[in-house]
Amino acid sequence: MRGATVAAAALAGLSAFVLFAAPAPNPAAPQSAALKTFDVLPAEKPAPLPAPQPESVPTKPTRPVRLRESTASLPRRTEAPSVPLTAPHPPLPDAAPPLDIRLPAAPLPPPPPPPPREQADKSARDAYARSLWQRIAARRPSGVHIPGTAELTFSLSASGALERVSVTGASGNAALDRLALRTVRRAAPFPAPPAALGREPTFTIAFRFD
Amino acid sequence: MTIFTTPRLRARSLCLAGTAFVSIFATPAFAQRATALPDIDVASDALPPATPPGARRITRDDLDRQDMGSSDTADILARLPGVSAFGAGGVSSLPVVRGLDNGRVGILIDGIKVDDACPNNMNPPLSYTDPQTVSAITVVTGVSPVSLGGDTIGGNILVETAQPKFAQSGRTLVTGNVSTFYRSNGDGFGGAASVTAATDRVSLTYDGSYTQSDNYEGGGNDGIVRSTEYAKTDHALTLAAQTGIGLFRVQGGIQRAPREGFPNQRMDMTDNRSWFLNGRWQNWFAWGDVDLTVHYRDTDHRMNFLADKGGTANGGMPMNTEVHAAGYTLKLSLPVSARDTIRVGSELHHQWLDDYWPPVGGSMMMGPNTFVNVNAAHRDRLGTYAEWEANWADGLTSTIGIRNDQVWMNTGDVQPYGTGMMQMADAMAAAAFNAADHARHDSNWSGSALLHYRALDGVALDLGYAHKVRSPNIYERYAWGRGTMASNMIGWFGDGNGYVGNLNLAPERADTISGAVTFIGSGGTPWSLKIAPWFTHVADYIDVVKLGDVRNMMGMPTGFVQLQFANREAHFYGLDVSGDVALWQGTDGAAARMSFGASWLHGQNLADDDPLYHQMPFNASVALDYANAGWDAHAEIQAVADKTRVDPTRVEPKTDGYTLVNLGTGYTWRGIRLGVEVANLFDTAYAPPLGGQSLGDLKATGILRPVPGRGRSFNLSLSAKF
Ligand SMILES: [Cu+2]
Repeated sequence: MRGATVAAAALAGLSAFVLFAAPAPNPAAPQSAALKTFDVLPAEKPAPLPAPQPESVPTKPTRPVRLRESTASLPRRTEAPSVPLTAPHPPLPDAAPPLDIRLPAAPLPPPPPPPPREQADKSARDAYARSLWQRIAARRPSGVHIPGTAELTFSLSASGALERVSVTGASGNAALDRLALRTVRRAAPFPAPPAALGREPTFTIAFRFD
Repeated sequence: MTIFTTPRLRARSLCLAGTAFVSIFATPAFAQRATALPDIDVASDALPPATPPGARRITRDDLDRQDMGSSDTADILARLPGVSAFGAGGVSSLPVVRGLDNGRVGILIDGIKVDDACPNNMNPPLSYTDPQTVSAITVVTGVSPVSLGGDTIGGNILVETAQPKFAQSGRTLVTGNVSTFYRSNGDGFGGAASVTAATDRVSLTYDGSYTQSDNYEGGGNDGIVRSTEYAKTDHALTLAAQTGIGLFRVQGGIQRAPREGFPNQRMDMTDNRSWFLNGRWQNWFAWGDVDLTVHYRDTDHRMNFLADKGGTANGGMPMNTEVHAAGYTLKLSLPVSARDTIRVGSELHHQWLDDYWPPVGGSMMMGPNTFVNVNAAHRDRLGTYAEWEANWADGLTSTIGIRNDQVWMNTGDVQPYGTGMMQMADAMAAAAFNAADHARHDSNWSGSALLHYRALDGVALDLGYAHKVRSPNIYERYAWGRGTMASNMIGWFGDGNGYVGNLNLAPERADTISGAVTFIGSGGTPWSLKIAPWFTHVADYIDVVKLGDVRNMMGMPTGFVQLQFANREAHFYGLDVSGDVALWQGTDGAAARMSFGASWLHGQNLADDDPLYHQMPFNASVALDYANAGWDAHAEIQAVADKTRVDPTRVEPKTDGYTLVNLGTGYTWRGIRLGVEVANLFDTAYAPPLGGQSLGDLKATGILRPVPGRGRSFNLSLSAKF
């Protein structure tokens, strides 16, 4: 009974608090100028890569992931068992993996093939971006039931360390912005970026909470 | 539907990722500028934090196709491999995960434990949920980390009711769904509504449901199954607010169940009223997450006889139970490095229970005093844990935790109906009980270690070990009546036997090893296969010993027995296999797939060297699904083997194997879905192996049979989302 009284009192307090605290000012991060600092200096002519080496990431942060090289065969939603692009070790379904038989599977048309040298650079950049994305995605939070999109911009040193990171598109909820920042910080350091990305490469990434 | 679809969101993020990569790198001109990485979807429908990757997630979409068939959440869960259910009332089945029943499974509703408030466990936690309004359920059948809860030795069932929904920034949102259903067998019908009105800061949600049914008919020539009627209604309001200092939520609700027959109990529920109020605060900081819940629930439960068991015109046998429960749960999750996350938590759960049976005027047996079954007992538990999760570089995740639960229990003195000749057994038992010390204290240590390893593309390995401890519940320790009638009123096993508590019970201690290997094949024909073996040993397993035969007025054995809870020793082992395969994919998104699941287990009482009670025989199911933009259809075959391993101590009935076929289809148009289903297509007569003895029928016909399963039913559902 005493517990009941305490709980009831606590709840009453909480409810009152919710009602009063609710219209708290939108804690949007003032970040309009942030993007500037991340504009990358034009790299002095990236050295041509000998060959596309998408998987030769020095620090081997994740297991090599099977990449879908052909842009024409994008993973379709119906290809549920396609494990590769998610986290390095994504949760596997308990039993029945999702064959979401609802989604219209419309593969995008392949982009026009770029010239050969750019092709090699592109492969290297592509592979590197994937590895970044995977490292970050692997640390994404869960159990958040607040919608919002927080966009971050971050730059890396030549060794792959996180040089700078900031919110360049605030979600409107400080907690979501913090979660996004925390996720990128935890994912660092990253593998050393390939030369094709230039010095201090800069990336943007959006966290879409739904 | 046997197999639930689960992680759609992952598939969606895959798709996004692929798309984004293409579009970015197709324009080399931007290469020297900031490179946009694909979005990271932080899906609110992903597995809850700290649940192991092998957990099964049942979403609202899955439930939408199943709630027309059953109003019993546990019954729906029993279709998962490794999950079964003790039969009980129409909305109150008791889930069993890998041989361990309801009280041993960690069942949380919105993170909160709901206490049983009945000597027959007529109002178990899942009876406070309705499949029409539940938003998601996560089921862990294997080893689970200690952070998911204490005082349990089995798997976990985590139900989420209304998660708050907010509008996008600067907008308002009004959303919800309404649904209704009808079942021909038993004339069951019900309806539910869930409506949210929200700004981007504040969200208010109403959830409500109503469901009722008359007695259903068994399959074939089984006829009406008595005492299977029910009616209940649930209503809840959830207010949530996003503020500069976190997400706040207050939820309050009521449940009322004016009647629920129990075909396998001597009593029926003639009223259940419960209300609750919960508050929750969550915030996410640079240094970690905080999740604090405080909760209170009050339940008023009444038992007597519904019409099939004679009604209450001559007083019947009133039995009342009152419970108050209160407590808090505090969870901290601290990402201390790129690799490591530390989770620590504390929870307090206070349960207060009073159970008394008013005298019946003019009855020799049930008077002149009130029978005090449990006098203001309390069971308080303080749990504390620390857990370390590490994401190793090579695709290996480990989670290691340790936990302590302090359990304090006590109860007041009791009294029998009277001290007449026919009440001597209870009078003597009460005197003995009152002379004993009732205070008990247990300090229970638990630990868990889980490994998840992506061995190769498309192959994952899970391995877990846990040592977990559960203290006896109030009835296991404090039920004291030794008279036939008094002990017949105790027990949640649906077998008509009498049960007597035991003050000397020790907590049960389980060691479990579970593993799983999951194969996922892609390519032209995607498929998956999961093979999950497991083993559990329970020291001091709370089972029963026989005190004697139950005899009638003439002194002849009735076939029922009087049993007393006792610490025994048991082990369980088994294998769950499941998987699916894409059969066909059309160009317009139409697709068909087949899914299957099978479970086998073996439970042995090592003290008696007998089979353990209420263990599910081998069972398997195969389902075919088809869907396109508007239509969906499914066909399911469910097969259960003969139950021949039965517990002789409890006179458990053998049941025959059976095969059931269900067919269903639905059409969705602009958020409106019409579903039609034929359950038990061939009207097969069968007895669910854990269904118990049909005592409602026994009272009316004098013939004892296992409770027959439901015969053919045409089910209809109509729902609309807006
Ligand atoms: Cu009851």
